[in-house]
Amino acid sequence: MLDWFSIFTKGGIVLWYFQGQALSHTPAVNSLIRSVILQERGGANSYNHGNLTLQFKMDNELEIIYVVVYQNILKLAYVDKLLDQVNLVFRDRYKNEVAGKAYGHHFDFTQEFERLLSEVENEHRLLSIKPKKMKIFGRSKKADKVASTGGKSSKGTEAGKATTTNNGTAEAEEEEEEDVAKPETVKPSGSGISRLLKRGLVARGASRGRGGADKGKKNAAKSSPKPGKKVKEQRRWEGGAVSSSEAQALNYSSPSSEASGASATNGDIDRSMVGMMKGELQELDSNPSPPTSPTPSKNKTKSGGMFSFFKNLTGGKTITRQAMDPALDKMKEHLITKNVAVEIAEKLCGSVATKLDGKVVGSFTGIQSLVKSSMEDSLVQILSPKRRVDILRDVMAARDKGQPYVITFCGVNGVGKSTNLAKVCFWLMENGLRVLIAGCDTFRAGAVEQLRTHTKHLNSLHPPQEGHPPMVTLYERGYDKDAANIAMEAIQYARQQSFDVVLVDTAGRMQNNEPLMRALAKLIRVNSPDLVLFVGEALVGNEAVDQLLHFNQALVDHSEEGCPRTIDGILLTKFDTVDDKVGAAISMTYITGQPIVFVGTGQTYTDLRTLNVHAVISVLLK
Amino acid sequence: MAEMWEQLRSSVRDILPPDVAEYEAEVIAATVVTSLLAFLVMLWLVCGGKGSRGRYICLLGLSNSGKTLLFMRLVYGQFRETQVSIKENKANFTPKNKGKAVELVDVPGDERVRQTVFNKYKHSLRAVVVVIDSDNFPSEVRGVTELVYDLFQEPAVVKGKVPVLMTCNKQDLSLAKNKMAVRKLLEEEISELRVSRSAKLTSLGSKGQSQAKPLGKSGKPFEFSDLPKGVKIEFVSCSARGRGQDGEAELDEITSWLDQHC
Repeated sequence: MLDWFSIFTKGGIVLWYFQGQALSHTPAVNSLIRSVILQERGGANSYNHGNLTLQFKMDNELEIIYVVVYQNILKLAYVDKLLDQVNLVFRDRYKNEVAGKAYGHHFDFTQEFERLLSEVENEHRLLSIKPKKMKIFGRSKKADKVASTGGKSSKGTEAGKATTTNNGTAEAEEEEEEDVAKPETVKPSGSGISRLLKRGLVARGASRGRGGADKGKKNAAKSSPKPGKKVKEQRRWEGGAVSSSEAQALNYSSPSSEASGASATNGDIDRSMVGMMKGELQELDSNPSPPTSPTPSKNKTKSGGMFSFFKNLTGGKTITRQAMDPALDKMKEHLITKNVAVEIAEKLCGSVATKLDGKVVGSFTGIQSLVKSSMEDSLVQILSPKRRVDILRDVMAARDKGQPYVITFCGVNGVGKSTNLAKVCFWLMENGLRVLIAGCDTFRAGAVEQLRTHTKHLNSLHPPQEGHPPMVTLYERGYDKDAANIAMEAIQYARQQSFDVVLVDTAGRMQNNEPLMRALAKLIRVNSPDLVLFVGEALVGNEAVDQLLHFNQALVDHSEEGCPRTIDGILLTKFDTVDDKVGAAISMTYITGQPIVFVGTGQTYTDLRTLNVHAVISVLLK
Repeated sequence: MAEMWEQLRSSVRDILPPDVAEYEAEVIAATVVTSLLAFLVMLWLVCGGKGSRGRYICLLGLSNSGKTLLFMRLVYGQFRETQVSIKENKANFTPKNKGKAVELVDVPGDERVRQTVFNKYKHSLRAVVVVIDSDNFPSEVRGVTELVYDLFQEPAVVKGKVPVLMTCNKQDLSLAKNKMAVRKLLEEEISELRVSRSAKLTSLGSKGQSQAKPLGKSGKPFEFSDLPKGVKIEFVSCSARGRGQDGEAELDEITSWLDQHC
């Protein structure tokens, strides 16, 4: 029944494995380690990879991990029990060898394992054969509901919960069936993330989904206030019948209307910022603290050497979940006050609990400090990018191939896409690259003019040399045209005119607005940009979870090929407005697993930085 | 001499309370011994315990390049299946001819943990072994280049004159590139990376961040022979898995280099 069972150390050495099938499931286990353990999603202990389900258990005292792999369609309810039993038996037998790091020893565990497996299977079979007793009213969920609304008190609410755990497995199986029925998408990490989080959010967010539409309208109304308008005007789609006079009135793209525009003509431009952004972006320096040099770690190891002597004298203590709970709750509250989304904070604490459960530490170590240092390690892991993002290098590689490098900016309304696009453009120009801006925001009033003003300003800051074309050009086709078409034409134009980078500005859209998300997915699918940047503001709180989930889901749902493009990176904006409540960075990287590429720290062209992981974390945990 | 001793004894006798006054010789002896001990402990702390040369040989490399298996082969002499490492593997390792033992550290390759783990050991490095997956090298070349580039910008490596061995692993696979090809590809890639990284020099003074010099000589394409004098680098081939079903690992070049440089 089981496809694979392996026992390996946290250092990666496999001590023993059971292969139920001809295939080796090493890649699936590696994917589990990379997506779940290294991304701190260890709270939920099951993970889907293709048509396999993986469950794992960590023994933090001996630093071993146990992993079970079985087919999705089998709903094995005894896996948790099996993992616990195997842990106990293996630890009893081989504790000395593992603790002494004698990995050369031949771990002969097959007989024991088969015995345990048959025991657990038999138990489970007997349990399912046994006729289920009828529930009395006092133990049912309805009685709990009645009690909670102030009716007759149900006697054993705890007993009620005990029976629900019995049926809890049945319910979990039903949930899993629903999930399996949904079409499985190929990209494992994407489906895993959305599935994991969705499962947790289903209960809570079900009502939210229905109410989300209302919330969306409310948000839209807040961000673009239209005083006195009660009825939202119907959006005009491309191809809709428009009379010629209306088209004339709507067409703001004629060059003659510039006369009224910018006052900042050649004389008044502030040139002080030219040359400041050359080279790679500086890191955030919220608190200019001295860089963590080797000396603190040196002292740590030396004091560790001294105290290890005492540790052996006084003995160690094992950490249990009960002992950790108060410290974890406090940490969770602290994270929430720092604007980390509630679900993310809970999952993080769950993952830290899994990592520390059963660990043996010296008696001098306080639990608070242990939890804090473990949380710090987890946060460093989350915020560190899983692959290096070096845009200048990628642009050079694309230039060698003769293609322009295409970056798309997407996000909800009012987060700062156009402003930050201009900042990125300025940075690229400072490094000598020619940029084409594609104005694919064909809906918002003044979007194209805004980009045109930016283009003029940027060109005046970096005037082209004699006989050369300008460094920045705007490609726009006015309003109410198909954004995907404009993007495609812009990229073709860039290729012909050998531009280095194309920056595609899209219209802001709420994540639950189905037709708009479909349009965005079409733009990305048709043009396959090199980098899809999600622009999110640092002020957002729990909404970040919803936004990113829906954006990713829409991109996955509306793509045709086997390998859908999802969000590749995050641009975090308005970072200067949050003093120390920097939790949005954690929420966003946790959900997508993608790095934060840029951080916007102000409203001028030079306010663009890269993320300094340690600075953000020190502010977060202070 | 005897006078001084008598003077010392009388002064100590005066200081001590009356019931212990008789034992002034023992008191003097005890104070001398404890101060000597304290002095020795201070010395030990300052000198770092095991001499000024580094204690660790670190195995670095991208994920799935074969570090953990190499570690198993070198320390335990056995083959084991491996998975992605989350924590480092550390063990004592004695090279054949020299008696001084070092600790071999297998640093996990995954981007998220690599730097934090390496920071724990980089202050006391004896040598660094960079393990390269020669089979998958063309698609991974940028990752390897960044790792190597950052390694050579690391002050602990440059100032400590730590020798670096570049091992081209997985030579048992048929499509593996040999060490010459890997060296050439790396040199080209480093030249390109140098351009995008060196632009950092002309930006405004970035508040305490170290401005590192670009590798090699500017103007001409990068070659490993251009590195500053103290940095020793060598390319070898190996195969941690071994050919065939239960093949022996081909680690001769590595073991001879380790014997040489430890």
